[in-house]
Amino acid sequence: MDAQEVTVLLAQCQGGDKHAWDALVEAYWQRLYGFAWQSTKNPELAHDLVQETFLRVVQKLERYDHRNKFDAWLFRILVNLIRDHSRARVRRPIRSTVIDNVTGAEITDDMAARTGPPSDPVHHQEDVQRLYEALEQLPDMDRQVLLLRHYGEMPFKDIAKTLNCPLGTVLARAHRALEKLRVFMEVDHETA
Amino acid sequence: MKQLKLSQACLLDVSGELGSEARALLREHVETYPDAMLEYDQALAHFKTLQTLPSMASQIDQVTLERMRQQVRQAVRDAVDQQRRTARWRVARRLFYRAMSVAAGMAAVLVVMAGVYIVRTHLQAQQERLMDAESTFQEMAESPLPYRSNTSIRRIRSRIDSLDAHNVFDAQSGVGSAGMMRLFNALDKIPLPGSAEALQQTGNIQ
Repeated sequence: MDAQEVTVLLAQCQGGDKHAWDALVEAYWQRLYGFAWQSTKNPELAHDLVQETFLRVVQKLERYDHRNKFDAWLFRILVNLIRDHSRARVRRPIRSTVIDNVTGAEITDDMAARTGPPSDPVHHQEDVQRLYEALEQLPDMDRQVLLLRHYGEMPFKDIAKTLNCPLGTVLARAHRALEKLRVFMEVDHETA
Repeated sequence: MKQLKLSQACLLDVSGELGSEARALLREHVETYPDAMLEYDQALAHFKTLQTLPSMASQIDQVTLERMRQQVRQAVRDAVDQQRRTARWRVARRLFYRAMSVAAGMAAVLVVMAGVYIVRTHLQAQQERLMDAESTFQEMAESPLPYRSNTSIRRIRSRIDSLDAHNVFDAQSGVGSAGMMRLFNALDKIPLPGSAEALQQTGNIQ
C-alpha cells in the first residue's frame, strides 16, 4: 500500500467508515503482530498489544498529522506499548498464564519464551532455533531494529522515525546486530 | 544527501533503500576499491542472514491467524462505534446547552423589556396625572374669583387625592419632584380670597 492509498484510507477512517478500518487492520495487522510476537515471545500478549495499538489509533487518529509517515507512527505506538509492558514486568514480575491451543496445557510467560515460536516447516528447525537464540542474545535496541526490518517490513528510514533516532544510528545498530548474529551462527555451526 | 559510513550505505543498498544517484556513486566506489567491495559483500551476507529469519505466516497456523485477525477487527469496529456514540452524545449535549443558554438569554431580555415597559407606563401615568392637576390649577387660577364654583374646587380636591394615592408627592422620583414644582408654581398663581389681587378681580367684575 503506497503513501497515497494510506492517506485516502486514513481520511475514510477519520470519517468513521468501518470498511476502511477493516482495510487498515488488514493492511497492517500481520506486520504488527509479527513484530510484537517476536519482541514479546508470547502470542497472546502480542495479540493483546496489537489490538491495543489499533484501539489507540482509533482514539488518536483525529490528532494524527498526515505529513508524518503513518507506518512509523503506528509502529511507534506498538514499540512504546511493548516497552511499557516490559517495564511493568520488571517492576512487578507477575506470570501471565495462557492456554496452549493444541494441548490445552497452561503456559506461563517464561515457558512461552523458552519454547519460542512454533516449528517452521520451510526452514531447518535447528538453524531457526539457533537464529532465535542468537537474536535473544542481542541488546534490546539492536534486536528491535532487526525485528522492525524483518517482521515489520519497514525500511530503515521509517525505523529511524519509529525509534526516534538518526538513520545513521539505526544502520549502525543493524550492522552491529547482523555481525553478532553471523558470528554467533558461525561459532555455533563450528561447535556443532 | 546524508553522510553515511560505507558499511551503512552498503546496508541501505542491499536492502533496496538507496536512491538511484547515491546507488550509482556507491557502485562506482565499490568497483574502484577492493576493500569497499569486501565491505559490500559483507553487508550483503549480513542482510541475507536477516532474511533467513522465518516469516510469521509460516510459523502460525492460518486458523489461529484468522481468529486473531477477526478479534482485532471486531475490537476496532466496537471502538469506532463507541467513539461515534460518544461524539454524537457530545454534540447533542453541546446543542442542548446552547439551546438552553439561548432560551435563558431570551427570557432575560423579555423580563428586562417587560420591566422597562412597566416603569415607563407608570411614569407616563404619573406625568399625565400631574399635567392634569396642573392644568386644573391653571384653569382655576385664570378664572375670576366669583365664578370659582364648588365644582372646580371639588375637581382640585380630587386631583390632589389622586396624586396622593399614586405617591406622586413622594419626592424620590425625578418626575414627581419636577411635577410638584410645576404644581406649586400653578398654585402660587391662584389669588387668595381677600388678597389685593382677588379684590381687584372682584372690583373689575362689579
